[in-house]
Amino acid sequence: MRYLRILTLHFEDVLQVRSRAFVYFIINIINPLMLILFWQGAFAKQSTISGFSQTQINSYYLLLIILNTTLISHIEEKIAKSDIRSGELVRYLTRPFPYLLLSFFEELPHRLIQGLYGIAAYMLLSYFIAIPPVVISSASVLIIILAYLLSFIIQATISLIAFWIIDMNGILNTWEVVRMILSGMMIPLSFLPLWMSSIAYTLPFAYFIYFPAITLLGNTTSHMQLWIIVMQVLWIAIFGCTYKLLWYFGIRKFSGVGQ
Amino acid sequence: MRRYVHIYKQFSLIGLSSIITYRAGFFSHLVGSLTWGIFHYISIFILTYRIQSIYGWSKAELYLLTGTFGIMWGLFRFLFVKNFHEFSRTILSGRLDTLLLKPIDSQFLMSIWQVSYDELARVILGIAFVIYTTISYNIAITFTHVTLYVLLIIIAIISSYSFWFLVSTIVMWQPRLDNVVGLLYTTAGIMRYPPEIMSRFGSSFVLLVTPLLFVIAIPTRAFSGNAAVTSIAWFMIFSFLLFILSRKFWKFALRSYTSVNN
Repeated sequence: MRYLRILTLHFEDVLQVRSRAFVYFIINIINPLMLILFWQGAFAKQSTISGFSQTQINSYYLLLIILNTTLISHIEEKIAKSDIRSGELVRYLTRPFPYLLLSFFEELPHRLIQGLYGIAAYMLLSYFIAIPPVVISSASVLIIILAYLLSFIIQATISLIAFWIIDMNGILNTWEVVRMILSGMMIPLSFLPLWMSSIAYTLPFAYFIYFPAITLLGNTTSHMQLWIIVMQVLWIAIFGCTYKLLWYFGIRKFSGVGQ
Repeated sequence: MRRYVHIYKQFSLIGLSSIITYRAGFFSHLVGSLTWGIFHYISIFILTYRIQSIYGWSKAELYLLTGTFGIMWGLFRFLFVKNFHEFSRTILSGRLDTLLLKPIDSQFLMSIWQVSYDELARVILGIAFVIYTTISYNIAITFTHVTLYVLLIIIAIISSYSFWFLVSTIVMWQPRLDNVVGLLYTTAGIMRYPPEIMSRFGSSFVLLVTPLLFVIAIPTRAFSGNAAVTSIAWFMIFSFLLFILSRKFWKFALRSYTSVNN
């Protein structure tokens, strides 16, 4: 009940600055739309590319509008810059709640509001762009929930490096670039050169964008869905442990003046 | 004019001294700039990995487009981007009072306060990539093409600056809309694509709604000698008008600015 109250308060906060949330949403839809237009040029000369037809690629990028806005956590700015670097963390340490959980509830309303914008845009655009219907099953819902948890825990873990490094700009930028390429945000992973897609399938990034997207497209078997879920849980566990470890040592280095 | 050049020189020197003072911060930003610079080249390699041409643009032309974007974008960021980041905060905190009281043009001060030296890495990467593409794909260039290319890149910077300034001025009415810079970053990214991707919407739509698509495409076409004189003329007029508009809009927005002195 206490957590629900915290969540509600953060919802109020997000709704108070709706125009900001809308601008963030616009930022997220421009790239997928540009890429749909880009690939239309490529499909003028060939009917399929790496097993994707034009309608499937349209559907993939339209789904990215929802998945990018909902599943990509942006907690790193808050944890690394506002909390650790600027010392805001002091406020959280004195509260009777785990910091990770508070950060989770602070971030969740942003993702849900963005997701709602994303769904509205998807429905509107699917009226103009021919796409097959998405496959929603209990497995795909579970994969999406796990994808968000994975994205959140990865971003939170990376942010903790701020305990040791004052300026995280370089690390966060590099991380974002790697994530964009290897998660399937820019292009379906099967379009990549073989060596690159093999790396992408091994790393965790594909499990929070690419695999949820192809599951919703209906391009996965039940056996593969089970494999995706297992891998997601495994990566969440790995990053969860890493987070605990970094927090344990990092918090001993942290110093801040009461606020 | 000489006074403005002197002021700009002083700001640039302050920027240099801050690099020396905060070396780790500069290095971190340099890594960030290089990473994003490299990302643009990786992304074009990936996007064109399974195709030979798109909308009449060959692989080589698409690479040139990306390299030109890298040069223009690097220069733009070097000159202006930090100031656009401060735009919202300057207005929200009331710091604009201080700038308005100075006997210098306020738009000038809002635009050139800080310089980002780390962004020059993108310019170097861009130049290297354009040279690599020119040599690898045997693109025939002349001295006239290169001169025109440089001139058009300068005009591209002016039009991008004007567009950014125009949009950022909206913050005067919505000071908490600081993420509008993020939106500008994304719209800048569309310049990396050929303008023809909007062709299905009709040429009038492209000219009216997405003129930014031409900002990089025209210099790129000029480099390989394929730019039409009319499109170059149109581009110059468009940039000039956009700059005038950004100035008029700033003057108009200043009338809505209120503060109780910070």
